[in-house]
Amino acid sequence: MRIGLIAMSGVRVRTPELAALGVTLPQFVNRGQVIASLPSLGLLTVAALTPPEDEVVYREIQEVNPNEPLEPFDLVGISSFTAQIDEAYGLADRYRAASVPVVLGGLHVSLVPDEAAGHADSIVVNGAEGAWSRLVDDARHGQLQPRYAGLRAGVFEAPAYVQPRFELLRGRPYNRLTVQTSRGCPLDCEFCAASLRITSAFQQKPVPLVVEEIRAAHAVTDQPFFEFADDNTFLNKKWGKEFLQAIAPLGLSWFTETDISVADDDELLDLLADSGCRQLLIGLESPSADDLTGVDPHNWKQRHSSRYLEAIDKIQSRGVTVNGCFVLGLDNHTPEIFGRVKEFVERSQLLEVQLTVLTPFPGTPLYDRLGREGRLLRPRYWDRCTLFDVNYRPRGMTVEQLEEGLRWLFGEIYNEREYTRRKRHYMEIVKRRL
Amino acid sequence: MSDRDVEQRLRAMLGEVSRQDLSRLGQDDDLVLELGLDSLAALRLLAAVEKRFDVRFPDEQLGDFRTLRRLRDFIRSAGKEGVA
Repeated sequence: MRIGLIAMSGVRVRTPELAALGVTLPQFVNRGQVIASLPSLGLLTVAALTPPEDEVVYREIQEVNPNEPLEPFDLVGISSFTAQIDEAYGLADRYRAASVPVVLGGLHVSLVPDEAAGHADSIVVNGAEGAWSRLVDDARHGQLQPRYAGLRAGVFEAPAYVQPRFELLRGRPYNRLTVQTSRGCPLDCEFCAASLRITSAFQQKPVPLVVEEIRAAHAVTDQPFFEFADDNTFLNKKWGKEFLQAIAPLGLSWFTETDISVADDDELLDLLADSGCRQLLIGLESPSADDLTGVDPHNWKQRHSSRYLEAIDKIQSRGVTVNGCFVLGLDNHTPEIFGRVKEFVERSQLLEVQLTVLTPFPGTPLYDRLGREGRLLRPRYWDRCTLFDVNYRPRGMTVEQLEEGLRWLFGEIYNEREYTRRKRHYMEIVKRRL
Repeated sequence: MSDRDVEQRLRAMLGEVSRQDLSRLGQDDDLVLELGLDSLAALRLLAAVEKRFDVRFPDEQLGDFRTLRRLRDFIRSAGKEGVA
């Protein structure tokens, strides 16, 4: 069979005033654009799970053109972010109308399976491991089942583990390549719609497998910048040190997401710097403890927030920049939060800042709670799950105050003067370390 | 130090931060667009040049130094080509 694996990529802000800001502010929507231009590691894994007798064609589609003829396939698999799921459904409907069987999978499909099933011959929930090979075999025999459940555990162990087919990316321009070292995160933040929703527990890939994947990915491109596609890479400090020692000789420059506790371990921080870590994205969420009640079930972030400033300084003094993430519109936020975030960013000397609005992705505990409380603005708003558009009624301010505050803060944080100040600060750190 | 020497030193610094093959990079090639230098690597290069040549790029122009020729000319205009 000729199997088309299609990744929907690219996300657009819907609120016109915010979209307009994106044109004028140098760093606004930056991280979103980086994410949107990353290859789909999930579909490269699906490709690796496909029996060798079948041909796999990997495609990324930024914008669906309904007038363009469909590429001929015997079976189509589509994966999409929530924000683009309606376009994915539209494409799926067209393939099905042309009698090509369609499979939908990925995080959104796993979180809203019944909805997705209405646009597919079959859906895959959870990871593709443990499901895809069987699905392809069923499709070959015309016996495709409506739903397959992939594994929620043991995905990095034999016989489930496969190395993603990085060679499918050969010849394509990417700013970054992704390798996954773990799935899940025990912090379990209420709003998180990442891989923890498709895992039963935190899963960590053995270091030798990660190194093999890095080598395989490196072989298909000159671009040596890597992003580890994890929710929280350095949860396990012992694993982290083993990992960093293993990748230090590879000459990488890399980025990942983790939590603030990395700053508690000086040896780990030194290894981060020595192994080419250029940036850690850390979900700070809000500058002070009072705001963070209930963000995660154990109030882990609240308990650690008093050390944010010290921790950021420790990390950045190693030449490893911190991309501090703030979620605006938490239940304890009032309109004064915008000024407090600005002040924190200035005090902390964060070298990069990600400002997003609280977003109730379908299938998350946050979505369920806000739905129960009658605070969702629309019954269905998936195309507005951009992390910048407001989709709910905040508790401590109006929707308009949140939107206006966001725009004000974007202007304060992402303007050229502030960006230049952050760049100069980074250069001075680098110079001190030379 | 001749222009050629300065450029060779700049290439060595660029090699350190970019970890890429620079053999085909011309002195007017854009380091971001043509070499794919990411924003942090570009800043690390500028920091290294500042430290080793004892110069200081104007803050408001940090994004403008994107070719080897522009870097070399700035060092020469600052009269610091003999420092590194």
